[in-house]
Amino acid sequence: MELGAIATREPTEAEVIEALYERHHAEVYRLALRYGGGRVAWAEDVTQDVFVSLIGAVHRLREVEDLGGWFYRVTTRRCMTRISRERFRALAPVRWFFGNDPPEVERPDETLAKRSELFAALGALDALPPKERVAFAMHHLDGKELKEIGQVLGHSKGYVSKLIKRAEERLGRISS
Amino acid sequence: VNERTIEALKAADRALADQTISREADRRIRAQIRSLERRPTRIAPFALAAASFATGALCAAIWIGREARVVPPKEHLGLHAAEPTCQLESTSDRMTVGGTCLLEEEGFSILASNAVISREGAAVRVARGTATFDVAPVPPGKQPFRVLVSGGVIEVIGTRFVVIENGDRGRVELVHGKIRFIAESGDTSELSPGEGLSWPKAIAPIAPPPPEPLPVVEAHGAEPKPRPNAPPVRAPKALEVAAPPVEARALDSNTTAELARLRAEGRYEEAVSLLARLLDEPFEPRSAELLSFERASILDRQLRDRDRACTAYEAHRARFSGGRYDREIRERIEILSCGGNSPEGRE
Repeated sequence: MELGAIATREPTEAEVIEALYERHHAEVYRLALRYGGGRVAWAEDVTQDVFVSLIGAVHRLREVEDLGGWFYRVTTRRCMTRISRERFRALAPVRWFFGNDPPEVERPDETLAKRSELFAALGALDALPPKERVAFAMHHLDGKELKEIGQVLGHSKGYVSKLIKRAEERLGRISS
Repeated sequence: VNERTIEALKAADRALADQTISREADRRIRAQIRSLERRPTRIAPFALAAASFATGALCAAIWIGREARVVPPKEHLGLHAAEPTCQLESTSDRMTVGGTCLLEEEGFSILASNAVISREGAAVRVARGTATFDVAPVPPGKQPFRVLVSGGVIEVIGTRFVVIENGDRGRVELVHGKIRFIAESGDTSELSPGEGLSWPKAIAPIAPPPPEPLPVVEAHGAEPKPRPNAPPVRAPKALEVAAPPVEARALDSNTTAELARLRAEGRYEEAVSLLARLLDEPFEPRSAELLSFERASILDRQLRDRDRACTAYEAHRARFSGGRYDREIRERIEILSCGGNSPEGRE
């Protein structure tokens, strides 16, 4: 459903969100898949989170000119938060305190994909700390400027540069 | 990191971009988005708590507002005017009482009549007018309550007494208890119940006033007149022949409180009736004089009944000629133009 199709009357909030989903979900899903290391269920969850969280906040989007850029930033931040939370939960003391989560069941298509050489590289990216992963991917894969990366991460250009350098060194060690 | 690794990552990213979200996930997300609008608003627990708090705060505000509307007794110079209808003019350092007002503070009360009163620390200064003090007993070792007058200081241990101050001269009359008068010269004099003392001249306590009403006393010349040029006063026959009652009593605090209550409630006619009844009772002369003046003052200032006020003032002057309120009464009679003649003209 396109925004224009429902312009003849005042669209409901759900209709607006569905229209936004229609237009932007592919990009959101792609980013989620990247930062999730190719995990489909993880990416689907992130996609769902991004659009469901719009309920009650659609009116604020009317002032956003570049909706694509807005979804890019929101999805990246959401992925980074999710990765950080997962890494925290993976710490030994935390696992001991909260107990072990049941292991995620890997879907057959994911297993197949990971066998390929392409996804081996993605696995190396998955080994990076969240901020380094995001900074590296935004810089090398999406060609974003340091300033824009800094806006997403909430850091200065200098610190972003440092994060990218660290990520490069870490990836170099992994690949060698 | 070498170029090969970056290229491999880019290739993997492109491969991911070719993947689309599964149909199941797509259906699930769309269904969830559509259901959001139909979902009833869930009241978060904190919202419920906030609503309860807001309700409580609103009730408290209403209650406080209602309480605030109950006008507390006005405070003037640390003294609470027990009567909201008191004619008080108060500045930062003194208050002028028109008519009669009951002023209260912890430990003492003042029934002030046409008086100018100020505070000097814990002490009360009577600059002008008549003030009846009722002071609770002061515990031993504590500073006595002090009343400042033009002629010196009155130290009070716990008693009731009347101060009449005319600016440069005045008089104190002790009803009961014990007071010490310290003149400006440093001379001290202790007064016993029934005794009075005038200043600036006399420092020794004067003898208790004779039981006869003042007009009779003056008619016999027992006490010098305060003003030598005052015209001779003709005492009414009834007073001349009436012997002072042996069981004459002083004004008690219950009567004072009852009068104050009637005044506070604006029941002036009842106050006048009560005063008329009291005036028929055998009160000692000074109390009777106060009651008589009070009645005339209410008729004049509160009820604004000129004719009855004039009658009351004339009756008072006839009965208590040359008394404590003579000056005020003469002024009021002049202002009211009682009988269309000046008081001097009638005399």
